[in-house]
Amino acid sequence: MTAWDFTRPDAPLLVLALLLGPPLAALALRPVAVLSARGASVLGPLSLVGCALLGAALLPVVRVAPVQLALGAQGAPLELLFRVDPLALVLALVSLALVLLNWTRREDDFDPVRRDAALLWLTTGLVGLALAGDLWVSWLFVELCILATAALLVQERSLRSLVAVLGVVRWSAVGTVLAVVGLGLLQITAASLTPAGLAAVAQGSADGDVLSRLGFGLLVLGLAVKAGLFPLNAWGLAVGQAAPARVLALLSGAVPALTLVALARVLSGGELAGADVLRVVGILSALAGAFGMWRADDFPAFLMQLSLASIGGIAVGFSLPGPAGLFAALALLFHFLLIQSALFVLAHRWRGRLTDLTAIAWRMPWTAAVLVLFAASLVGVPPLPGFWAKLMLLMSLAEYQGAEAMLVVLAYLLVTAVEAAAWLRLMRIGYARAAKDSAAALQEDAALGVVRVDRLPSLLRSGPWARAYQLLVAVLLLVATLMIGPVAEDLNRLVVPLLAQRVSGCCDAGGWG
Amino acid sequence: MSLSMSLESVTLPLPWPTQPIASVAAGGTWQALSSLDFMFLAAVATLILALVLGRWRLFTPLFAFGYGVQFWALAQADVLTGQPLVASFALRVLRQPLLWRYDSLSWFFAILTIGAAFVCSLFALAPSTWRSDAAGGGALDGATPGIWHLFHVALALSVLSSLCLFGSGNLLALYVSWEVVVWSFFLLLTVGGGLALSAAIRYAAYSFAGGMALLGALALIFRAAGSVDFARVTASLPTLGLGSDLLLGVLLLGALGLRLGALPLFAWQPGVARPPVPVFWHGIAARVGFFALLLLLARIIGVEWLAQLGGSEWIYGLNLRILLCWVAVLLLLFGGWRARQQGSAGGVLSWLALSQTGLVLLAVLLGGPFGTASGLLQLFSLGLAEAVLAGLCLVAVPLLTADGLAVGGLQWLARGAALLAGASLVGLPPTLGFVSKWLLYDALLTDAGLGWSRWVLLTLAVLGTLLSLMGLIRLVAILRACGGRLACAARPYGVMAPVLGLSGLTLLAGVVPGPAMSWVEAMQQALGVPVLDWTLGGVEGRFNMFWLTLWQVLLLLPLLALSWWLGRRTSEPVARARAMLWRWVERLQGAPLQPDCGAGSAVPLPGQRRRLEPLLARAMNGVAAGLAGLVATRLAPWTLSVTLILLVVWALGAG
Repeated sequence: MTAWDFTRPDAPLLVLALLLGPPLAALALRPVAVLSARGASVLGPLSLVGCALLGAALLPVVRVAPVQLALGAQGAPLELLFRVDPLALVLALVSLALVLLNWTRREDDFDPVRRDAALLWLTTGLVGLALAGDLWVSWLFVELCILATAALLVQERSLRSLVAVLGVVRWSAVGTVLAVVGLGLLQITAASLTPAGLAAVAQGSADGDVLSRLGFGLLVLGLAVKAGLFPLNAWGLAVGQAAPARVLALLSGAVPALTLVALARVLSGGELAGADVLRVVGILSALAGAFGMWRADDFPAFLMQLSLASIGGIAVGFSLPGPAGLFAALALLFHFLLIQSALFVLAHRWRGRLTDLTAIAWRMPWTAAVLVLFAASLVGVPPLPGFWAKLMLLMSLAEYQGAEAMLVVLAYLLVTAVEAAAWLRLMRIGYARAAKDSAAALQEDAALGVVRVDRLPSLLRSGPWARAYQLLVAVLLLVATLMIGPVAEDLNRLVVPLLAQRVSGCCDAGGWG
Repeated sequence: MSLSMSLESVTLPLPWPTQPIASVAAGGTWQALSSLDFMFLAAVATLILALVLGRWRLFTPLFAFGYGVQFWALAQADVLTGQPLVASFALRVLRQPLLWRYDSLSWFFAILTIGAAFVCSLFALAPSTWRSDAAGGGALDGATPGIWHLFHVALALSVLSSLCLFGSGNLLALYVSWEVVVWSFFLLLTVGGGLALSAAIRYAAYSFAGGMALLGALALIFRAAGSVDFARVTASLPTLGLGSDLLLGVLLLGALGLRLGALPLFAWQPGVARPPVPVFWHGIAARVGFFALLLLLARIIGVEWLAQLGGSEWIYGLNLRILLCWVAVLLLLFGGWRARQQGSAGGVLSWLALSQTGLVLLAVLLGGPFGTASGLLQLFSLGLAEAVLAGLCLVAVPLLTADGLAVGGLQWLARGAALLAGASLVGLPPTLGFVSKWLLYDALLTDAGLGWSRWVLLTLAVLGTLLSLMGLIRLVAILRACGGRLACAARPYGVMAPVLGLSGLTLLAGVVPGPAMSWVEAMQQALGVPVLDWTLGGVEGRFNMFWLTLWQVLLLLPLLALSWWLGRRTSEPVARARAMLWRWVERLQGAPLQPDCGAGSAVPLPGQRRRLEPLLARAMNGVAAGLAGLVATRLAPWTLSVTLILLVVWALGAG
């Protein structure tokens, strides 16, 4: 097998290895920990690196021809269908990279093996979501992500985390019920719940069939609960308060992003069924997130709301028919995941109130400059990549006929303006000249004999690897700015299979045996 | 386990294919590039030099040279009287073209911008001058190399982005360029930090909101026209329904109102900017929005729109055009009134600039040959006058100071320059400001479409001009009060040269307005407006500045001689008269004087607060709390129930 031979007959096995690597590592952790604690500590990251290498090896293969993998008995929902195209593989690789980036072991961890296992199961869920080929598989891995989330929260061993876990479980159940009811309604109208059958029902919903519209609407709402979209994200606040920053990064970034992609991939048809519902939920999430940013008191909460706003915008993009909306949504998604990962690296240190960051820009000028660059790109300052992605979304919305589309455009512009105001407020705090507040607070604490460690400036400084990563992301942003053409071409190629899947109604009949 | 490798790879063309980032003119040789291209290249080169060398003040003359090269290149491009030029560099991103095209209007604004930047960089050549015992400090006093670096980079970027704005070849290029301009200006305003940073953030917030409104309008237009090209957009406007029309109007009004700082959306106008930034800011930067207004009027809406709307009456002789004229006049009055209440030189200049923006807006709204000529000439005269005043009051030797540096009569020259600039601002002959205001009053008097409003508007416009005069008197009082507390430790020759040059130009262009009128004629042709019938001395059949200047000299010379003679006398009656004069001046200049002798801050008088921003913040907090409350523990189940009910209703309604 030469390096340039792209037809690899063992590709399906590699896909399987990619899927099974993390869960097998999770299962192996405990036995390995018995033998060697050090071995157990590196097993997780090593397995992820191995999977990433597998994914990289598969990329040239799937560029030529996507791979479809069907496991188990034939016919949905008993058959597990995986579709490995360039987009899916890129998303899987991104998930692996994000989990690796946020891999953390604390000295005060009660049971680090358990935490590592939970992270590996979360990785399994994310990779499975990325590679899922139909609704059932997507749902399976969404549930796995939620369970892994609950397991990670339990590790915190605080009352707050237990409350958060209860919230997650409760609302996840609600989401599941909504989706099951929706599927039940669809079963009344559909000949089968295979992708082709769902596609036919989607056409019916477009033609005005009430049951199918209701069914798809409930399905979308169920997934929206899992993704934490407004107004169904009641569990998000408790999780935001309980989870550490590294875990929050995954829960507010990778999980909802991949959930949305799965939704876009599996709900096929000429017009995305349930698109109206997704669009409304998306724009409401964007509004709630933007205003939440304005109101946020601490940096992790600020980033949580930022994630909500961004995910909302991505959902709006996925709700649009036609390729331009998909393109815009994916552009926003990759842009968001890249920057969000770097921002949460900061949140690991900047856990206190926003006012504690007064004048921090003068103490950490490079970090502040990088933060300004991220903010500018997220808000949409030309010629940064975020601007082009948002412009694409707006122009796609503008092409879409109907008064509702114009309302969504105006709402999205309001979201952007509020986001900008929130970022400017943060910058004003960060660049304030005299840190009088902090100094006065320090003196007051000293007088009382209290030392607030989170106010000590030295503890706000990120580690060298964290700073290096932030710088790397900033450089990538600037490079993408200068090479917006080639970047857009690459994204173009990633979108095509998703579009082809939509037009053809998902999968060839041959794939079903 | 069944495995299959199936699925063909289908390549479907996206509707938005991409192209290479940039394409250069065919041939790719230096000879193929036009003067316009050289101007852009010079601007890019200046920016690169600023990025690399801006930390060291030693290289400041290099940047001034760069602006000089840009000025020369633009002057070589024969767009004022010749055909419009299209730049060889064009971008094409996501299928949409971004191209740059220069005509006489673009040329005019570009010349003003490059000139203002050139003068600003000359002011920056002067070493740190001010030391003040006020807390605010002086002109970049003790500025670190980082601050200087930021200043030079921000100025170069502001110029480059402004040049792109003025050459916008379609709506998308206009929007993108204007956004870059806003953020460049934001960087420029942040120089110095502290209060300047707060002012800059406020500017960015309001301007960005205006940008969003403009983007909404762009989206609406794109929806109707399917293109961002001006011609296709114009053709598609009649197809817009009433609702879309109204929405487009509201969005454009909001966008332009915010970006121009029109009433009541002017709260972003920065009262604080570290010198020499105000020279550039007041010279042109605060008014670049007028280019967009004129471009939209000329290329999309059509200048006939104003006349057509003026013909449709609503009630009591009022229509949209007249309402907008009232808004402009109110801005003039409000700005002048607030200028009288300021305690710092920077604050007075900021409010004066805002009030004059109202006059420019009024002139543009009046349209026609006189109105447009007045608007364009006002931009020129205001740029000159305010650059002089900003340079003098905030950078150079303080005016009328008793303890200021008196070097070889420079003090008198400074007073003369300030007098000329002030006279131009107020509209006194024989300055260029007089010519522009005469044209405005002429436009008001001769516009029958205004009905009875023209008399009221004319009266108020004159009143506003008088308020501006009182604002200037306030400025004099502030500088006089601060004079003893300021010690100038610099060599003022470096800053006096541009001051004298600009004020000289103000006088020369006023006495011989012909060349300026020729520019106006070219721009009126580009706009599609009837052309003014001008002569070397003024307007045919209206006024002639030669004769006016002559009569003025004959009348005023004896008075000037007498006041000079009295000023040099030290006898008691003369001293008493002088004291009485200053008391009269102090009574005239408005609210009690509590001067802020620092770099300047538009701080409201005690008891007055910014009302709009706290209100806005409270509203946003309220909305945020409301949205957060919907997903709080108690309300979340109800929210879910309502969502499901709405879903059912939607499914039933759509079925």
